[in-house]
Amino acid sequence: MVKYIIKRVISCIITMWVVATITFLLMHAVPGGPFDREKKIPPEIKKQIEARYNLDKPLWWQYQDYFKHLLKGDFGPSFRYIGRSVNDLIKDGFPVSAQLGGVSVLVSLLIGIPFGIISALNQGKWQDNFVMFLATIGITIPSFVLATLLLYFLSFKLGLFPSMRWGTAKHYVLPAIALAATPTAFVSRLTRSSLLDVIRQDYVRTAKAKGIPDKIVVYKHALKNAVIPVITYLGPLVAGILTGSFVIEKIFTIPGMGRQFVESITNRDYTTILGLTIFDSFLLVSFNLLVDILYVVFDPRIKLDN
Amino acid sequence: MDLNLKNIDKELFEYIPSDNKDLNTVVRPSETYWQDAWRRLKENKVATFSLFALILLILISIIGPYLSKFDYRTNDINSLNLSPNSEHWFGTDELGRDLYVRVLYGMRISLSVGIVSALINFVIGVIYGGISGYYGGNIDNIMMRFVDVLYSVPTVLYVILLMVVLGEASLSNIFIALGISYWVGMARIVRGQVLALKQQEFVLAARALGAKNFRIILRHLIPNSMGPIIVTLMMSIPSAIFTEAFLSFIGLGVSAPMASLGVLCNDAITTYRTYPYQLFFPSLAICIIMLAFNLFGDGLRDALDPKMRK
Repeated sequence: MVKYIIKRVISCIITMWVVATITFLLMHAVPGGPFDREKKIPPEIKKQIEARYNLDKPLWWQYQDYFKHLLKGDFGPSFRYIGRSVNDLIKDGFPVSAQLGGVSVLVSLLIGIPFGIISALNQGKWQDNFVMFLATIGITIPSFVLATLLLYFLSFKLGLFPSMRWGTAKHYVLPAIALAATPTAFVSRLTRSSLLDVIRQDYVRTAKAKGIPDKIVVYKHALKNAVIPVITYLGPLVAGILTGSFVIEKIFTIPGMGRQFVESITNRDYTTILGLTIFDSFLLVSFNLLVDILYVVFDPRIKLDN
Repeated sequence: MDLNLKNIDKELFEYIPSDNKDLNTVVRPSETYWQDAWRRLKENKVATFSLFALILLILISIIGPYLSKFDYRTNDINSLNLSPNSEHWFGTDELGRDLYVRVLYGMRISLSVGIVSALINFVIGVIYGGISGYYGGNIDNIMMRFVDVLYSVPTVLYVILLMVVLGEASLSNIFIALGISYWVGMARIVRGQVLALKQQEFVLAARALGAKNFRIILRHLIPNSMGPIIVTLMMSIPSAIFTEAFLSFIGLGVSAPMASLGVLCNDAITTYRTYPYQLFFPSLAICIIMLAFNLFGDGLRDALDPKMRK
């Protein structure tokens, strides 16, 4: 177990290094310097600015310097917000995004799994068709379309929820629904298919033959194995919610990391894009690692050597 | 039940002489893999319906704009923000441009983004996965580690970075960004297929006859794994369309006066309270396209690859 974890941690570190390097090179390959504005800056001033941000040094030096700071957890200064570092931006945005994302993950699991169970137990009946219909809708409607529909009907027409600002519990409702819709659909499809798989297995038939009530067979015997694929989906789920938040936070004007990301793109704020991408990837990679470890813990049938 | 074998009337049974002649005759002509798949696809009503819907969508997006006397770029100061009427079927936008034509052009862009980027990732994925699976060993190891690294970070992030690097948000740049980001899944599928197929006798036979490696990959291994490849390809189209809409929505889509569906939605969102129809039509178009591709992809998967069915 320990050996497996060490191996996975090492591969995660390599992944992070590759991602950071690729992102660093991509951001430095952007045509035009980060301080090119529509109005030309006098060359002397431009030189000053570049010297201030070490942009006049060779690329290799910049790369080493960036990584030196990165290892200390320092993402460097933002090119657009003078005097603010990318760390400041993350400190502001991350808690908001993490809360919203956490709520959305919870929503998608708490709704997705029961819906999947209902539809698997009623395979072919109207409940199944209904849930699968909802799931198809959930997968096909882009989150920004759903978000704007929600805004228009529930917030603007009916006035049930606020459409702007951030803070109270009511503010969470619409963004969380919009963000969780697609993952919920995936989770319910996944739960349904894996539960259908498990229900047909021998040990379930044995349990039934022993005279154990159907409910106990499903919830105690079958479900345990059926949720394992859902656990493996947790990694992509978090990834989806993270990238989904770019759009949702923009629409609902939520001061989170997703909106900062989008803003840094429109502002061409390269260090912020670089920093946020690395931070996002770090979150995802460590989450995937966690899921992989959880997976082994939950399913003793998996061999650790592989 | 009172079932006693001794009570059954012997008359009910009939003696069949052991003549094997009938067993060896072929009753029906044998179907090829593709005929079989086509039959399964035709039996699937949802899939057939969405196939028709897709063909219809493509035709509409090609022919549709010519049915209107407006084009997508002409501003008309006398008809700003008109609601849908007999002249402007979907209304007009804040610059007086006809929304019907703009939505159809947006559909054209979305469909071509989906199809072209799927083709690009088909080419890259098949070559990469084919080489990796066929040569195996260290080459496979290194190539797949790289794929794993790419796989662990969401594609949307790459696409965004690439769009930022490519600078100008033109259609061809979107093709490039999507094409070189989405091949990872394809490469994995192809590699898996090739890995399983290369052990089989027909590959050995081809090699014994002196076929070169690339010929074996391209003429023997890839055609035999076409089923899963097509399914993956079909599934990648809606996700490419989705990503393009997503990109446009955060301001990295095609630039004015051209507009993809995502750009139209993004433009409309600032005024959705006053002019909801400006948001409604492009959103509806995206949803229909996504739905049709997803349902057809599901049907195709069931038809081509019954094992993958979930």
